[in-house]
Amino acid sequence: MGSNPVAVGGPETVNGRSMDEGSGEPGGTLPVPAWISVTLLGSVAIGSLIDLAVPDKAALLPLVVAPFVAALLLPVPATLVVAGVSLTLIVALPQAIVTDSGFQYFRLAAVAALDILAVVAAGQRQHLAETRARLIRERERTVLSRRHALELNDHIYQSLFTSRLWADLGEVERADAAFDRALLGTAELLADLLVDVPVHPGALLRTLPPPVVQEAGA
Amino acid sequence: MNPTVLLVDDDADVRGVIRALLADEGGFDVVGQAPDGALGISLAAHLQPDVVLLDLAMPVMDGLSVLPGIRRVAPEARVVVLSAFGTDRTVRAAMAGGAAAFVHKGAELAEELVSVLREVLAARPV
Repeated sequence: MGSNPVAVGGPETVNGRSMDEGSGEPGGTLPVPAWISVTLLGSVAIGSLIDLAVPDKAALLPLVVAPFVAALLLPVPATLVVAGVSLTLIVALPQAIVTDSGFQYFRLAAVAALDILAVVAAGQRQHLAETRARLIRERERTVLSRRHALELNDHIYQSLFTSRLWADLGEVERADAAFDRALLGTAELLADLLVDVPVHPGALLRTLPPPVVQEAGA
Repeated sequence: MNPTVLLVDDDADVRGVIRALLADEGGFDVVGQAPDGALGISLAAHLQPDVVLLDLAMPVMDGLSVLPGIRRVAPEARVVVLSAFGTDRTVRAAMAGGAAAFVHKGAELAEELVSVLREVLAARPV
């Protein structure tokens, strides 16, 4: 903070009122630390944050601001500062007693600033990243499902279908041949699906019971 | 003269059993077979069949991509889609693409196919 905190940053006003540099009470001037740059246009209640925020970010603001304010276990006023395109929440923290090297005591009203737009932007980036990841997962599932459907059709279904038709036409040998091709295609597909799956006790445990087939006439 | 039929299906055994079915039923002449959609369009243009039996899942061009091409080169042909993929969405896509009918490649095809062919041929404008 420097050896003379009063000189750092020069005198500023807070909440439109000047602060007494000695007592911290209204009537004097208390410098704001140089690392906080404030242009005051007036105070706004927390409830008006949504109206002042960029409209399409409105839904995110309550989620962003509420936890922050709730985490401050102090009944302190908050001031919304609009400076150009920045949106800064200024929260006054309790006064602290500080001393310089000359052992002069000063009351310091510490000020915490939260750049609302930065937090909203960070929240948006996270939301966008999560949405993008979800869309990528969904697309991968769709691509995989389509591939599985085409493989099942090519390797199994077409042969079962032709086996049935040949049987309807009385062509037993051709029906049998087509059915055998379906069996072979199924075995190949199963092998392909399990090629990267480790095989150990329990790996091939059925999760559903086998279907009960009622014999005709039973 | 029997109605002429062009078979467009990548599975040779499927083409064989459909041809056998139509021959067994009588009244239809299979005049051409194509193993993929692109060749199907070429044959349709050349043969101008009365009916095209069109599979959907094929290499080179799938059936839904082929439909507009066949209708363009053989506008009088009635396209009947035959597919194992019988979901509502698939049927709607085929009909929206200009198919005259959709027949599912299922256990009932032997009974359904011939009656559907006769219906679509009867519905043709004279």
